[in-house]
Amino acid sequence: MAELNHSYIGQLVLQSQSGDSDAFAELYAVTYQHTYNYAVHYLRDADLAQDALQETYILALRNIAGIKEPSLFVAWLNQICFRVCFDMSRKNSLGQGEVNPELMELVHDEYPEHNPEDSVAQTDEAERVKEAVAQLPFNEQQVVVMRYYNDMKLEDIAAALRVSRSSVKRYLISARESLAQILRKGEK
Amino acid sequence: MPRRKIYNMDRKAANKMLQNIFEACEQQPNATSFDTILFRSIANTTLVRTCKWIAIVMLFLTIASPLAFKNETGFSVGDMSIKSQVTVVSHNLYDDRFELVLSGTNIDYLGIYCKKNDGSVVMPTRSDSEIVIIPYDGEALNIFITCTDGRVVQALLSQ
Repeated sequence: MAELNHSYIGQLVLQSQSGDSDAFAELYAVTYQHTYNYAVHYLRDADLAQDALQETYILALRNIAGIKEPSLFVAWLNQICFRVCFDMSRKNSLGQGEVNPELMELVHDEYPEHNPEDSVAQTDEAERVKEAVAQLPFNEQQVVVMRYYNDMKLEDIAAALRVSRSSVKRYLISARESLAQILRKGEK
Repeated sequence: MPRRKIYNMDRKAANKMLQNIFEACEQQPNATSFDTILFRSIANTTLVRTCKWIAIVMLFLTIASPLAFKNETGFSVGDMSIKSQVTVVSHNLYDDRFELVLSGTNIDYLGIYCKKNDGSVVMPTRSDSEIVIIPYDGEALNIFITCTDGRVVQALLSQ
């Protein structure tokens, strides 16, 4: 996808908000390939990805009137797509919603004073990590979910997000530090 | 580094999905065809707009480039074969006169004269090895610089 003209997208959003179907169709036209690519990488299934895409745009069209900053439409759409894919992967038992042990290990490397063996239960621990992941900035959150809940390779995540592999790594490192901080705060 | 796989959805499938989306939201479908909308969306990306501007600038430069080679006073010297014998060191056009500094070993300074388009002859008010001063009233002048070997260099001072 070529670099988008966000001010033009903002105008299209305003037109869509007043019920202009052509404007929404154009919003769809400029974003659907990127969104589809993301969904295929995330769900690893072209048919599921099409379902996710349709669901994403239905939610977008139903809620477009609520967008306060029209130029941020693409970021807003990406968040919807991420949520749809996340829910869909759980429903289809792709990620099982379980935390990858690697993530727990990484978190504990950053957060050494806490020993999961001492926790009331491993499931509680996983739940706390999940809640902490939900507090991460969107970019970090989706990279963590794709990597540790969905077992995606760094290359696949990079392809889905259309960023470099090193950017994905950077998000993961930053997410790991943030997670440790959030968990430390929760402990206090 | 392995090449990242980019997945693309078929245009027809994308169009069908768009119609499903409108139907699910009970909204009127797009009046303009999806292909037209797709073309419009490509034309509005930053890359295409940048290319468009670059093309406009290139076109402007192409059209304007002859101006860069325009002689400011409209002064040009002809007859390339003997131009090497007579060199125009400098030339300046004022409201009432045209001053010319020439260099060359066999220039006949006393033989320099000018002609207007109507055929009338204009003689320099000063003509020596330092400077040639020709009265100028705004009309084009053909300047004839004679050499001692009989050859003549013609220069044109246009309006």
